Amino acid sequence: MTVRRWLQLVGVALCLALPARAQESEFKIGWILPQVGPVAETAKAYVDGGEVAMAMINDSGGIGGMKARLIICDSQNLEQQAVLCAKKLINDDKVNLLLGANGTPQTVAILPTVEAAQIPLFALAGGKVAWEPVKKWVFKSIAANDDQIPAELDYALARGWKRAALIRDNSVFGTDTSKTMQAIAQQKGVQIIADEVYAPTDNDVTAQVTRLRTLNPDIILNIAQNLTAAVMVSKKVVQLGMATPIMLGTNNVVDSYATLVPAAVGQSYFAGSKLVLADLPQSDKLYPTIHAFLTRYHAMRGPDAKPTANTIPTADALLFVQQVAKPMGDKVLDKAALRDAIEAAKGVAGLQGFWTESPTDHGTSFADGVVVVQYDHGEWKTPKP
Amino acid sequence: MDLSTLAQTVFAGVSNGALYAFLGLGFAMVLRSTGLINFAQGDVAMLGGVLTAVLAQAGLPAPLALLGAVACCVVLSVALYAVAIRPAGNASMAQMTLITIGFSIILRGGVIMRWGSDPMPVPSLSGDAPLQALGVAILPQELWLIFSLIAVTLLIGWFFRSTVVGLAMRAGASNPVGASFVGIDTRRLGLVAFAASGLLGGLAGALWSPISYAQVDVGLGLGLKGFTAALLGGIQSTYGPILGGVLLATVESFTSGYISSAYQDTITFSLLLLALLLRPQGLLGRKQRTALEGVAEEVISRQPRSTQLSRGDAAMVAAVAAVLVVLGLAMGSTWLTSGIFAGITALVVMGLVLLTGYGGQLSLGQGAFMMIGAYASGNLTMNAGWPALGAMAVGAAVAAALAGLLGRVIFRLRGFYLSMASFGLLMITLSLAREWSSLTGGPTGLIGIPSFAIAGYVFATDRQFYFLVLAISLAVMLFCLALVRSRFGRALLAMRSSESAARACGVDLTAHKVRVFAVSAASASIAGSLYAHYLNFANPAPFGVDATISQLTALTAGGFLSLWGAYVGSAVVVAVPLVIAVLAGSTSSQLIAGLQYLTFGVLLIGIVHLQMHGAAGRRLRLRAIRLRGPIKLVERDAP
Repeated sequence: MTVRRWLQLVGVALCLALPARAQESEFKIGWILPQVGPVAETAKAYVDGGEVAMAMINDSGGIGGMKARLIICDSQNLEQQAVLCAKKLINDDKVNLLLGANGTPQTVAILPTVEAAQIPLFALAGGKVAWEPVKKWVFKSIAANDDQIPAELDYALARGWKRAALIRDNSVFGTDTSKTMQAIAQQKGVQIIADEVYAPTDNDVTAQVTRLRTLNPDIILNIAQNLTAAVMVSKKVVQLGMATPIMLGTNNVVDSYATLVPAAVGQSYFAGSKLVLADLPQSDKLYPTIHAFLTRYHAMRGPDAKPTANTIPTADALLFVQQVAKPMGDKVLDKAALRDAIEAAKGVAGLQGFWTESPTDHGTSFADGVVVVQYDHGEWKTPKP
Repeated sequence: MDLSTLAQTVFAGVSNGALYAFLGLGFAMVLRSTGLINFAQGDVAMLGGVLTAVLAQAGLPAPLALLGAVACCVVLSVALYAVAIRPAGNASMAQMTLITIGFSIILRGGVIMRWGSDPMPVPSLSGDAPLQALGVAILPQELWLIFSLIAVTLLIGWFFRSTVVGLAMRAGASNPVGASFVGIDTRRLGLVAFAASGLLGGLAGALWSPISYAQVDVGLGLGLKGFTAALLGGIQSTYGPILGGVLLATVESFTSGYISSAYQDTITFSLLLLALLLRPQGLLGRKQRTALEGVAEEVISRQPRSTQLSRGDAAMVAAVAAVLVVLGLAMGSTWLTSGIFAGITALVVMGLVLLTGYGGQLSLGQGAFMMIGAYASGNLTMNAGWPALGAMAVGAAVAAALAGLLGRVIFRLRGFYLSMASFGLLMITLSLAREWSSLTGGPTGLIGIPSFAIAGYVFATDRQFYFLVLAISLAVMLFCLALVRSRFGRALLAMRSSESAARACGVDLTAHKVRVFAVSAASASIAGSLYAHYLNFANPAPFGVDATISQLTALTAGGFLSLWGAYVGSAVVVAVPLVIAVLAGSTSSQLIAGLQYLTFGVLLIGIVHLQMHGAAGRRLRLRAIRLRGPIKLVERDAP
């Protein structure tokens, strides 16, 4: 490419990058998420659900009576790109609310920018460091280890599985899994007999799983960060001839798990969001919100489309903001007022659970929204006893 | 110790070893006949897996899908050689290596655009039910992998012993000049070698992926393991990579099985470093002639002596400073942030210009030195209350000392060893940064690193920080300019042009390379410190392989011998993703991601080619190079 062509390209880029004139009556939501890298598949599901939520919001009066618009910026799964995105969304696009950055390190990287700009952020991160200790402008928005582990261990106890072996990755998420698991297991009386580690980039876990085989646990716990890590471990468990039950995380509730490791489906249990449950009873307290979302989801994506656990965190946060903003009118454009309203939320029914915030705790618990599920002929169901 | 566990661990070593051996053999094939490290090897294997999955999904029976995928891999490997490598003619080894890195990125981009990045199931050749023997669970597919390796090994042995082409390849590898005297066309041998490497890579991927899955991200890891296997076993020996592969996999398997899986990478890559230091020819390789062997070194030029910077340099510094200051005053926050990141990258690239452009050595591990800077600054300012400048200086000193130590050993050898050693260092540092939480905060990282401050003045806003980065990068630039204008710099250039001639003139090769490596490490460390202060946060992830690729792209885009090009190249690297995102608008994210990889790959290969050929290349290079007169950058060391 000639230098001139380059200059033309850069020129075009500059023109397009100039902020379009902001419309007054718009509520803009900036969303930082990675479209490349190991979490890109998760991010796709986030967008899938986020778009449905936006359609629901704009059909029912928008946010604070204003049309809501989503502006996505690709963080490329890189910290520095996430910071760039945060600055672009805040300064150029002048968004009213931020979501991001789908990854704990990227989220931690944008925190100083967010706090300095004084804009509310829903942290799309599994790691607690993003909202603990409490930060004025940052709120949790994904069901994290705290929310899914109790359900998993309760289920294990109910089945009489008391000797559990943990296997997890060496990232922030896996480290947090280990810490949280040990603590909750001790309370509940489950014995954690192993804490094996793999790297998300590993291509083989034979040695780790062989060690687990020697210990002969009642259950293997693998709250994998993504599908590849879930598949890698489950495949190895089956390949080493083990029939031990495997418990996976909300992230791993994806239909392609069954095509990737068909042999392990029968022994795999998942902490799953109630949203994926095909047989969710109408009496469930979350049924109304989940049903409304699913109806709209199927209308938009077709009757056969299936949401996963990753479809809902962003959708949930967006719908929650709409709830909170209802009485505010256009005061919702005042970022401090919006933040105060979010912090004042008590028991607002959402898709992942009930949102309850306080000045001392921005990490609402979603434990109510998690149940143990199993894959059964194309559907996610409550496991048969 | 449980016997069946032991047996299972040993078998895992053998079966993974077979995988690594396939890849190691591919590396060795190419290296022996062309002197190149084919960094695309791992991604060719990735492609082998992905294509098998795709063809099987399209309805082909598993064996046919496998053959089809392997055939595609062979064709693509040959295309790489014919289209990108052979026409680059006499590019330097560093440039050729960059071409193969570019190709591997293109492969990844293509796969992401066409098939996305989700894992895909791959059917095995004969069922998934494990066979049980002596408490060891064995998959039929693992047996396929192992027996295919044995078949391939026999075939290779026969090929090198009994065919004309094989004999010619051995001749070409042991003495290229001699071989061409007796009428062997070494270029055609390259074609054969790349075809073979495509075959080996494709087979590795297609045979192994049924055991796990096919996915776009596995290539890099596979490539690394394969290369380590080849080096361990001896890249010059026919069967060395096989021994290396099994050894590597066994060590890995025993480390994770009996010590801790957390330290698997640390131990693996320490083994690689140790092997490089103690037995660079590999376990089965014959001793290689080292650069210093048998030469009574008469050291004349030891101390770098500064000469004055020319008036042109001063004018250039002033002009660039003026432009960047005006930009800094005019730009809005988003662009300032881009400018800051570009400036930080430029600091790393300046070091690379010295090391690669002038020193002729390719480092793939500058990220390790950036980490040293980032964590030194983070710890000393946050926990010990040091001033930012002092902490930065400590980081730079530690990085330089480490580089000096490593360099002292590595630079006794000629050729590609620094690339590998530095890469090993990067992997070890990454793994330590994740595990040594008391110092690094583990994978979470150090949070809350204070902003950069000098004597109470805090560089808190983006604009202030931009000018800080500008000032520091200009200071480093001045230092580098002074260095290349000195006797030391002239010695480097002489060395770059011909090591033998330089040595004949009394240039101490090792000492010069060590120094230039130390300088590049120090400037990378400074970049790391600035990065940590700017984000108020340091974690291991940003200093990994992706960062290495963008640094190398920046180096290539700016020009190998152009210090000022460091700014241009870094700006390009920071701008490309922005431009693509804007141009692509609202097209699917998968497409954008793929496009980005493709662009970087094409940029890398294209620019190297432009630099090798004709006027277009010359126009791209900055004036600073042309002033230096007719220096040929082409001489490649014989393997």
